[in-house]
Amino acid sequence: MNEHELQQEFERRRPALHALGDMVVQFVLTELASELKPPMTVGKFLQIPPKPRVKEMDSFLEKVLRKEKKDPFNEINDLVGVRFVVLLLEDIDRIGAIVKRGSWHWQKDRDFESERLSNPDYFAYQSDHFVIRTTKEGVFNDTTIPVDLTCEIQIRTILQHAYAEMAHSSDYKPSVILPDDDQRRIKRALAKGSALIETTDEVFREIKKRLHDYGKSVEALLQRSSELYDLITGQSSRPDTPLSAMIVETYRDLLTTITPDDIDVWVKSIPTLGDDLEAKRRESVFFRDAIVVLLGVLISRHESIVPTRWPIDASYLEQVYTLLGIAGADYF
Amino acid sequence: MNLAHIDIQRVIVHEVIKPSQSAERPPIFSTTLVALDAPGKTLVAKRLVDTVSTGSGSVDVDVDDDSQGSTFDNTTRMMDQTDAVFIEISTTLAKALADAQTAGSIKSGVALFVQGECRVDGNQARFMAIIKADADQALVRRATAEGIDLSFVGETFLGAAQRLIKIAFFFERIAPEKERERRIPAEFNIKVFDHLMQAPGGDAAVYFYDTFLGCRISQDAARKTKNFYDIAREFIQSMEIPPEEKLEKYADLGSYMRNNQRTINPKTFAADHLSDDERDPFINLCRNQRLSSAFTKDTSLVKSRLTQLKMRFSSSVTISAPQEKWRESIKVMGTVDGWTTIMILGEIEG
Repeated sequence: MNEHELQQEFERRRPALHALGDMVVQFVLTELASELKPPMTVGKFLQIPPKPRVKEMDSFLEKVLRKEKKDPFNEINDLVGVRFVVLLLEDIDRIGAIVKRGSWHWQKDRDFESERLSNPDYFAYQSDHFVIRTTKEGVFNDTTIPVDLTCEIQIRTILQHAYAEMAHSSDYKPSVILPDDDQRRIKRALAKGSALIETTDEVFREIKKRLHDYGKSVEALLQRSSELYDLITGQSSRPDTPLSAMIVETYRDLLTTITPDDIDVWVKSIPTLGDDLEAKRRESVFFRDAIVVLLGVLISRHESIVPTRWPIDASYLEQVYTLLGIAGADYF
Repeated sequence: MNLAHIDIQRVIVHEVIKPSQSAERPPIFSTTLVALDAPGKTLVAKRLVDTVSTGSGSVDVDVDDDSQGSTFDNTTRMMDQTDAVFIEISTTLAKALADAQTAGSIKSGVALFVQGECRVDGNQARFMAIIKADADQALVRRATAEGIDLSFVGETFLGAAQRLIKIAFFFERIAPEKERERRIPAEFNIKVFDHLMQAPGGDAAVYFYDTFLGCRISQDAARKTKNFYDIAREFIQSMEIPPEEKLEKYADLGSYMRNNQRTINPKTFAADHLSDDERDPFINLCRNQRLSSAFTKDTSLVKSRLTQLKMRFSSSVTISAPQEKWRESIKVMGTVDGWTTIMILGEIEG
């Protein structure tokens, strides 16, 4: 095909390329929406709204010319592309998993993979490029999408995205030959940039993991408190109340040193606790909440700090001190 | 001593007035038990916990007089008596209390005799509490059509002010195998709460624990004081702070040991001399070493260690000062190139 014919064929395919890009975006967004649990939303998960982009005509023609493609419409995979930008490295795999279960054929983008392998220093790792290929003819938004049409899908974190954009705007390509010294310097600078991005990504992953672990450990404390409460009083406690969330929030730092087993040990050390709570639970909803068990453990370790931060009416806390036999008059 | 799960069974109240007043009119002695309602019982239980239990300012006393007709004898005997005899003995004790109250700032008030059961350090035990409560004055709020009206009440008792109560708390450590007329002191633990013991220079109303109760302050005060001092030293030693700050803490400890308060309470020391983060670990450490509430101060075993505090330098220079003057007289400015700058209050005399 000469350039003119290529142009005509490209224009003929343009609506189908658009439709394929839109279909990919819609599929990923729908799947993602059904997977994410509140308060996480698709809008928060994706850092930039994904928009399919059909390759610029000149860029296409130039690529055919440069790479001497004989069958350009089958050999060039990025005639249409979609980019998903996420927050953290682990989010990349989530989008990847969705891409892999679409009703199309998928593979990792070979060009990207080989480029990455040959220049590991400045291609931020773990960014994923897929190429998907339709396996049958279909219709999307009233447009027919033929079989064997391809779409490139890039998945990056927002930091990788920033790095890629910056590296791109520096106009540097590894293939460009520069004087040795400059080459080294630029390579080194890019490697530094890449390492920095990687480190920052890891730092954020660590932060997220810690918060997640903390959430899990608090959940385990509340869970155990509730089980023990039900066991010793023979009554069921109120689960997951805003009150318990409020108290947990107040003593967040102090809770990190308590394990579910500590609660066991503490409850066992006070044989009358069940009877006492049973009597108290008739008086107030406060004592029907399993948080009182966890609160007891907190008081046994931090009796002077707990009253200084107590978030609600002090009389409830005073009653807990009396119940535990701790002289609290100086604290209230 | 941890006191919890207090179940109040019998209560009686008698009036206790100054001997001078009794010439004018006789005090009122009740002839029936008080029917205390649930909130009332809860309040009394709370006062007992706050004055006698873990972290409180109560101290152990030993019985001096356990003869027949002594307060110890009467108090422990009334636990097993019928209501009628319970009332009769309590009246006798109320009179004895009034008679004992001959010196100091004496106020009129009431004597409550409370019998019940509780858990002491996890073990079920019977108790008798004698509470001398002085009258307070207060305003009572009443909602009216126009808003809130306040009216004066001349005699309220057992409010939050601890200075208005004295308590003798007898709990039965060992129940006798079979009923017998006389009980022995070894079967009981007795705690006395009197806010005067905590006050600087205060002397616990001698009439209460000595004349009336026939007790004296527990003999192991010196040992407990030494224990406390050792625990506190060790606690400071283990703190992750610069050596000059440690010395200041030692000085604080020394001053605390030498001040004119009659009791030592780990909680008070923690509140006055430790930071928020250190306070609870220290209180818990003392508690684990069986120093859970206040005790009488007796520095005889540690006296020699409470005089001078020394600061030693790597160059083997030593500076020493009396502990209580340390904080105000020595300021460490910092160390540069192996030289430490120190400011000392006063001029060189020799």
